[in-house]
Amino acid sequence: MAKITYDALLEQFAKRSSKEEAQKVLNLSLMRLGLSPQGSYTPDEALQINALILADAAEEMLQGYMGMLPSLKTAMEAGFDLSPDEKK
Amino acid sequence: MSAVDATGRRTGQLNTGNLNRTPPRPQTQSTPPARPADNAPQTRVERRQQERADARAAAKSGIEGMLGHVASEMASSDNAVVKSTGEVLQMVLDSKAQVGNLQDIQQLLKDKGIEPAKIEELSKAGVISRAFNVAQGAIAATRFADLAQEAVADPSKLKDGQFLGDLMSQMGKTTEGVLSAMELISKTPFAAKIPGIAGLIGGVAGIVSDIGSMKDGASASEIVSLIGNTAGTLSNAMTVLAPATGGTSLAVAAGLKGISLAMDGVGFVLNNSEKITEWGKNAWNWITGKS
Repeated sequence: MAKITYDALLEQFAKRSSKEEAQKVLNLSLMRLGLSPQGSYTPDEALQINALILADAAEEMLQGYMGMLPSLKTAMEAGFDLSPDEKK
Repeated sequence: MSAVDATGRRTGQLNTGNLNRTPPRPQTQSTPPARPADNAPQTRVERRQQERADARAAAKSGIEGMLGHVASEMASSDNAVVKSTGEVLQMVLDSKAQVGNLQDIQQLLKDKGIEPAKIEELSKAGVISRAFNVAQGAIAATRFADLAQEAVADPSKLKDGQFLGDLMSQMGKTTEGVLSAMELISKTPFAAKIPGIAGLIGGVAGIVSDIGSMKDGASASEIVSLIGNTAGTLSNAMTVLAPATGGTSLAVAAGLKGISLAMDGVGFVLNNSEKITEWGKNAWNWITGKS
């Protein structure tokens, strides 16, 4: 079965962020899984790498979402335009 | 595709962000998700995994507590708009997202003693529906994180149509929650800190609309890339919104960027694997209730 290279994964990730940032994310995931950054990976290994990145990111998003709510309160307390909303 | 190497091995510089490098493990076979066997003595690795799971559970409980705390604080505000928003958040949380429609919420607000005229005014201004979406978004974000943990325990789930459909559904609800929070902010004086906030909201609304208008039989890559694109667009929006949120939206942006990265990676892997036949269609059927 075709293996997926480190460079290929890195190239994919770097489409969304800087290469350095992508490298950091990818390498941390590899380290936690005990995989070498000097190799290529089976599709299952590559999925596992992505799953780990996804889980960390999802937790960060969740904590960020909750952390943003007090700001919403502060903004709304500063004043709120109650004019009828056409959309809703 | 040159990106896939069937035989060779590559070497490259390791950027670990100043962390100490762990010696690479010899590559022998795919790494199965480590799960301690029942009644087996715990190894150091298993103990660490257990500790990590415990820490995650504690963090999750803290997050739910934080949302409850914010809802409670808002509900006790002297400001009628904030108070109603807090009441709606609490209702959705208390009902574990079982309060399904605005009529129910309006009735519950009446039961809480809020005047019908005020409820009407808040409804027309879109406060109630948006507060509802914000709460639903928080619950969906929690579910998304749970699903992601399931994928860590069993990465093959990322090839399962039903699982992927659920992931997309939770991302859609989270996006709606974020959109509603942005819309609420746009009606406050803080909106002045973001000159292009209307366009920003329009962009996110477009993504929500894209999620709702995917065609029947969408392919696996379309679904995966939609999640990635949604997270990516939302991440950019949260970055731009930072001045109006005191910088707090930057954490959401970072998380969303990671999600977009991971989903791009999943799409890439699946597109280079032979195991994806038809599962995109199955995922779409599941989302639309046609299976």
